[in-house]
Order: sequence, then C-alpha cells, then structure tokens
Amino acid sequence: MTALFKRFHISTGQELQPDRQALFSLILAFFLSISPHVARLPAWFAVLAVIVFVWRYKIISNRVYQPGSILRTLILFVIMFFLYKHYGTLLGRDAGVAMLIALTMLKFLELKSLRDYMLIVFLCLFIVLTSFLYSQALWLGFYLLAVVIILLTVMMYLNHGTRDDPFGMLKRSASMLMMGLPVAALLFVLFPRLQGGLFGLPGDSHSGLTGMSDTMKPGSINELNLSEKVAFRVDFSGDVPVANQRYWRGLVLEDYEEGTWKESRDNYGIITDVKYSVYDLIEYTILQEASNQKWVFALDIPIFKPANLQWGTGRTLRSIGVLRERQQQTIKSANPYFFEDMIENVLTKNLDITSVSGPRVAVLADELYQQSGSDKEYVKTILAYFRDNEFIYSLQPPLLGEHPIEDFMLNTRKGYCEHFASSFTMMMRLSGIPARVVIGYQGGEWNEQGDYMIVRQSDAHAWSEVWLEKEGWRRVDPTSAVAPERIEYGLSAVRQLVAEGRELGSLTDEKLKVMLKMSLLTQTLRDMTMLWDGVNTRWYKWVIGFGKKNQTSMLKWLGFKQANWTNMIILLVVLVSMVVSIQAWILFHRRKVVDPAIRQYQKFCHRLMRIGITKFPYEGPVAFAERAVSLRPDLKSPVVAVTEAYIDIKYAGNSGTLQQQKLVRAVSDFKPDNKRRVELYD
Amino acid sequence: MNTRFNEIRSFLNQIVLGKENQIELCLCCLLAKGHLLIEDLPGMGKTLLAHTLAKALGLDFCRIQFTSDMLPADITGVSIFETSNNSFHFHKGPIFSSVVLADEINRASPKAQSALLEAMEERQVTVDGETYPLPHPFFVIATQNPLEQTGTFPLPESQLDRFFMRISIGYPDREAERQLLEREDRRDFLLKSDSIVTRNEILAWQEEVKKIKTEPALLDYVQDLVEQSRNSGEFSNGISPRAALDLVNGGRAWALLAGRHYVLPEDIQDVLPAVIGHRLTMAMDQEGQVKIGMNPAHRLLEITPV
Repeated sequence: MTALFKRFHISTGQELQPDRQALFSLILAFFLSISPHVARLPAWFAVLAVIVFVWRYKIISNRVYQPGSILRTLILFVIMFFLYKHYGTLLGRDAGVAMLIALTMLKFLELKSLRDYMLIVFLCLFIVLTSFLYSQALWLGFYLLAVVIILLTVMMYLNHGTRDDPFGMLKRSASMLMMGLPVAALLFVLFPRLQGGLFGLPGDSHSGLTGMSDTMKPGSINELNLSEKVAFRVDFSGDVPVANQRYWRGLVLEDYEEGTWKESRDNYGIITDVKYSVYDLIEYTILQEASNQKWVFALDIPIFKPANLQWGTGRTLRSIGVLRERQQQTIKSANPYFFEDMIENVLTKNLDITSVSGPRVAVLADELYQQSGSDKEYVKTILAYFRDNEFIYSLQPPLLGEHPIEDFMLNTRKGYCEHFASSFTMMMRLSGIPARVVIGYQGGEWNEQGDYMIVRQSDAHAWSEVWLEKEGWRRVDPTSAVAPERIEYGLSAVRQLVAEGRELGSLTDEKLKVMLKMSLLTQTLRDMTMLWDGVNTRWYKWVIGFGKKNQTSMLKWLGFKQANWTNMIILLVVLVSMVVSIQAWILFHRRKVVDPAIRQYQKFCHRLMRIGITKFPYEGPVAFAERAVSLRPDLKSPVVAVTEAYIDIKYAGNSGTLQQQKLVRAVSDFKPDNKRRVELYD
Repeated sequence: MNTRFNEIRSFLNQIVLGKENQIELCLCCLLAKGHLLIEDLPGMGKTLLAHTLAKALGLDFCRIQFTSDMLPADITGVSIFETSNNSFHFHKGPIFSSVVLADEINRASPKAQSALLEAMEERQVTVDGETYPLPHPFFVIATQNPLEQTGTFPLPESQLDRFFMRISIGYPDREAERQLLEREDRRDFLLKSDSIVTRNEILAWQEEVKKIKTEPALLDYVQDLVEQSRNSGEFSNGISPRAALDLVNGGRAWALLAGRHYVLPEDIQDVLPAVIGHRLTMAMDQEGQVKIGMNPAHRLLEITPV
C-alpha cells in the first residue's frame, strides 16, 4: 500500500443528544398514544400531566433541578397510592393501563440520554396496544395505525438527528410499516386462537347497555324507541322477506300483573312441534350487538337453531351466557307455520285474567264476542273496533289510571304498540281465547351498501299471538290496524307524518312513498352512513370475528385437515420466514449495484465485517484498508491486493477484463480466519 | 517528479517546523492554481511560510502589508508622467510578483481588498485602459487575524469564495518548538539557501494536474457531497459550483503530490476541510443557535457515504 498522508481526523458517530424539537415531538406522540384512554383515566391525571410537563419545560428552559432518584421514588409511591385509592387494586386492565401511562409520564422527568427517549417511544407503542383491550373498532384501528407511524417517525428522528423534511420521514416510516403488513396478515390468519373472541376481555367492560328487558310495562318499549342504536344486523342467504313479515321474535310474555307483562317461568323451555313447508325456510345470519342479556332475536318463527343456543319460552332463542360481545348466529326460520299441540299448563297460563281489573272492559269483551260469533271473527272484530273507534297511535300517550286495560279501551284510546298488544291480548283472554304478548323488533332498514339489514332499538315492537282451534298460534299485530305505516315504513315514517300533522292510515301507498322520499342531501348522508356501517360490519365479520371456527374452516378449505397448535405454528414459522426472506431478497436486490467491481468489493467488506471490522459509510477504500490493516496486521497483503485491484478499476480507469479478473481472484483468495475477531473498532 | 516533491517538502519542513500538513496543502493550492488564505494569530509563521515557499520554488516574492488607508494603486501600481520623454509610464505595483503575501488583508478598506481580489481572479491588472498580465505562476497568500476585529473590514462570504483554500497554522508541537528555540535564525538560513525548482517546472506541474484522472465513481462522490451540503438541511447554504470545481482540482493536485495519476475519494476528503471550510456554515437550529463545536466540513464528510 502506498504510504498516504496524514489525514484529518473525522469524528465518528458519537451519540447524538436529542434536541428540543425531539422532546416536543415525543410529547406530542405521547399524547396521541394515550388519547383513546383519556376519558377513562382518573381526573387527577390532568394535574399530574400539567405538573410533569411544566417541570419538564422548566428543566430545559431554566435548567431547573431535575429530580433525583430519591424524589423520583417518592413521586412513584405517591402515584401508586392514588392509583390504589382510585381503582382498589394495582392489577387488572384499568389500573394497569393507568399505571403504565402514569409511569411513562414520569419517565419524561428523567430524560437524559437517547436511550431514555427511545424507551418512551417503546412505552408509547405498548400504550397504543392497550387501547385494543377496550375497543376494536375500525376507526380506532386507523387512528392508532397513524399514531404508530408518528411514533416510528419520532424514533427515526431520534436516531438520525438529521433535519430531514418531516413528510419524507413520515413517508419512510409508513413504508416501513407497510413492509410488516404481510407478516401481520400471516400471524393474523395462522396464529392459534383460543375459543371465543379475539380478546378475552374482563367482564367489567360492558355495563350500561340499552336493550330489551324481560318485562313489558307502558313506556318500556317507547324508551327504547328513542335510541337509534343498532340492535342487530342480518345477512340473508336467500330472498329478504317483506316489511310486514319481518317480525323479530325475542320474548314471549304470558304473565300479566297490574299492567306489567312478564315472561312466565313455568313454561320455560317447553318445545312444541311446529309444522312448516321446507320451501318456506329462510336462512340468515344474525350479528347481534352486545346487550348484557341472554335473548337472541330470530325471524318469526325459528325452526333450526345453532347448537350453542337454547329454546326459551314459546319458541324463542336464548344464548347460554349473557351477550357481552357481538355474536354471530346462523338460524333458519319459516313462515307460515303451524303449531299442532297445546300443553295444558300453557293453555291455563294464557287464559289467566286474574289481574285484569275494571268491570266495564269485561262487559265490552262479552258484547263484542256476541257480535262476532266465532273466535276467528272475534279477532277481526277487535281489530275493527280499534280502527273504527278513533284509537290513535301516539308516541306520547296519556297516563293510564287504576284499571289500565279498561282505561285504554274506553277512555284514553291513545297509545303505541305496547298498549295495543297488551289490550288486544287481554280482550282475547277475557273472551276465553288463549293469547300472549310477544316482544322483539319489527321491520329493519336495508343497507344497500352492504346487502344486509340493520335493525335498531327504534324498531322495538310488541304484538300478540292468539291460539285458534285447528290453526294453532297465530300472530296478530293490533298496531297495524291503527298505524300500518309503522309496520310498512318504520317508526321514523310515523314520526315524520305526525310532525307534518297527517292522520295515520289516511294516505294511499303512492302518496306515502312520495312524502317519505328523501331529499338529495339526506339521501347522500344516509348512503354515507350506510357505507361506513357496511365497512365496519365487514371489519367485524372478517377481522374481529375471525375466531377459532373460521380459522379451522379456512385451513380446511386450504387443505389442512388437522389444524392443531403444532401444525399451525410450524406452518406459521415456515410462511413467515418465507415472506421475510422474499422481502429481504427484494430489498437486497433493489440496492444491488450492477457494477461487478462494487459487488466484489462488497463481498470483501462483508468478510471483514464478519471478523469485526466494519466499513463506515463515509470511509473511502484506502482509509478502510489502512484501518483494517492496523487492526489486523496479519491480513495486510490480501487486504492491500483487493483494495489496489478495486481502486485500479474504480478510480484509475483500468476497467478491463484483466483487472476485473484480478479483483475477483483477490476477493476469492481473501478468507480471513474468524478466530481472532477484532472486538474493538478503534 | 516524486523526488522533486520530496526535496521541496524536506526543504520546507526544515524551515517551517512541524507543519507537514499545512505545507502539503500550500503546495496543493499552488499546483491547483488557487490562492490561499491563512487565518491565524500573529507570530505563527505565516510570513515565514510564504517566504520559504517562494524561495524554494525560485519565485519572486513580494509582501504587501495591508492598512486601512491603502489605495488600490498601492497594490496594482500607478502611471506617472515622465518629463524625460513626455509620456506616462506605468510603474508596476507589488502585485506583479509570482508569490504575493497580502498580510492582514482584513485591515484594508473594501476598495483596496477588491483590487487585490480582482487581480487574483483575472490574473491581470488594468490601469488607465491598459491591461498588464500578471506573471505565471501567480500565487496569492493572504493572511488575516481572526481574533482582533477592531477597525477591520472582514471579508464578506462572496470574497472568501475567491480563495481556493483556507488553512490555519496553529501552534507547533512541543518537539518542533524546542527545535525552533535551539536552532539558528531560520531567516538567515533562508537567505543562504538556493532555490530547488525552477519556474518552468512549476508551470509543467500545473499542467500535469489537469491530466490527473477523475473517474465517474469519484465524480459521483463529489456530487453526493455537493448534494448533501445543499439538501440535508444541516448547512445554511450549499457548496457553490465554483467550490465543487475547486474541490475536484484540489483532489487532483493532492493526487499528483501523492504520486498518483488518479484521484481517490480520500484525496477529496483530505482537501475538503481546507477547500470547503470557509464556504460552508452550519444551519441554525430551532432556537436560532448555530451548533457549536461542529465543524461543518467534517460533518459533511460524516453524513456522505463514499
């Protein structure tokens, strides 16, 4: 090697001290990471945050005392005390997350070196993960993905310290994250699942849910009707039944006591045979929201149920446990149907009129029954009685007095589905016809954007069932006699008509349709809401709801007969390593230079790296060779040979075949032994 | 050629003690036809270095001490009416020498400074419409004192850019200082010595520098450096095309001095701090502070892969 002149000292990668901008971006990233948790944290966290960040600001601006280890420990214990006081424990999801956030905040006080900054970034990534313990909604996923990208950018900034333009760095970290996507997808599909949902969540997460209760008294359904929350969504495999056939059966109420209908405990689980035609079967999948109740809603009347459901009273469905999470069930229903037998107990229960009070109502029932002659005619007479006697469907009915049924039938005549169903059922029983109340939902809104039906709490409804000789249980909806719009178009149509001062039932179908036609803006708004709902539903069905069952069936479809833990782990490892090697190959070849001389030289550098001598990017070939020789004098002649050949081609302009061959030979001859690894670089 | 270089080196090192690197850079600057700015405290041997260089290279030497009342004519010369033949006669100023030492250049008024800088750039002097070429080779060594700034006119960036290199000499190390104290007066020694090379040899070497090869791989590296200086955001303004050209020429001269007929990235790295140092400043950070203690040239080298 030709002796080269003394070189200026070039400072080598000393550790960068993160600057003020790094601190501010880290604080911002921290707040973005904890933002989904903010509402759940105790209020005094705000005070803590103000103290910590003001202190931090003072540390950098006025060089205020940075807390020492004793003070930090003291602060830690104070915070632990408050956390314990607030949660009653330091373990579990809520207290654990709060503690994680509090301690991360405290870490800001002891920021000194790059290592501390990096640690906070990692803690923030962990905090991001904990958000999924509370919700797995799609928008949260997108938001947290963005937060992760920002965190990666901060990490990049901390490590490089260059003032790259921030968008370039964002782009780079986003593309880095994208590279992890295939592996994430593989892990998602193949990672062995536990029975149940994606996350086993603690039980305290679902309180304060609205939904149907097992009793019906005036006002209980009306309360539900105010909520536009989704009760469940339905995917039909075949044709969708028309609106007036979409009765979603939830509970059958047979006990009546002082204005309140209740489910009868005595008849629970009695299954009676139903006759139906196979051609009338409708198959559908119901995706029910968490309700904290056991009832599962099914189209009137369920015939086949999944194994994990039970039969409740009067052919309704029950889940075994309380519905704490969304649940998906595939059910088959049929309409028309025919109940053949009646059990004695049920019969007595459905004729019970002991708690009906008021003398005049019994007289009315008698009178009307006399007029009709048969049971079947009597049903029609009562419906006609509702229609012809100025009964009004109203969402703000007057309060009923001491004898509710009598009061409604003879005095107020104003009410909604509950009142009608309740009075109708009692009128039947008073004339010796077995009858009961069914509550559930009626109608539903079709989502064209996802081809499924949305049934909301506002679709909650009550109707009646009467037992007719030779016909079995028949569904009768007295509300339809007064307000057919409620059945055909839903409650919102009723609200609109009432708001415009129209009398219910007064308009023809065509006129109604014109009236209910939405303006372009409302229509667009609705379409967008529906689209978002559709995306979310698919997200749930394909991502969150991807449980053990889906996994097994998918693996079977792919040809894996035995999808057990070990097989899946092996498959996972094989596929992940395949994906990673493909990515590595692509990355390597993207950077691969076509120049054969550089490739040979890189090979040479790689061999030196293996014995602990790494070329710095800013190092030229001669400088690197000098350093390598100074570290390993025994390698002098091969290192010089390779370097000289390389320089000859790249810088002296002798790039003939002869020189190329010389370089190839020199590199292939260069085989440094690994035994004497150089541990110190400088 | 190498032996001749070594002769020059050993001669210079005999007189200017312990400053091999600075001497090498001086020679490099001369061979690349550049001008040199030495920034250092008084008494560090700036004049001695210039004087020795002129002596060793057998070139005529002239020193201009810059003062605040100096006029351009004091540098370039003046036309005087001669009664003997009734005509104006141009009396050449001190600038008509091969090696010009412009001492304490920042003391002179901008007017006088620009007269010198113009001559440096054009390599000719125009007085009363008459153009007089300057001798070949023409090498200006300007010095300035970086500390005492009272009553001075610091060179603006645009004029600093005219200098090919800026170096500082710095204190000698202990061993060199001892030699300096022990030995006879170096100026006497200088007077006694003969020159080593001839003017024609230097001109030939200057031509030789132009023939040094710069391969695409090297030019790529230089362009990477230029790009980094402009786009990394760490520097307040990037390297100018003139500076980039100077960098390549400096690398060529450096390679010639090392006896090579091609330029290596290391040559560029060796001359870069001297060639770029006075043309590159670190950008201000968010607080409006320039990062202290970071040499922009070294930082540039550090962030640019070869």
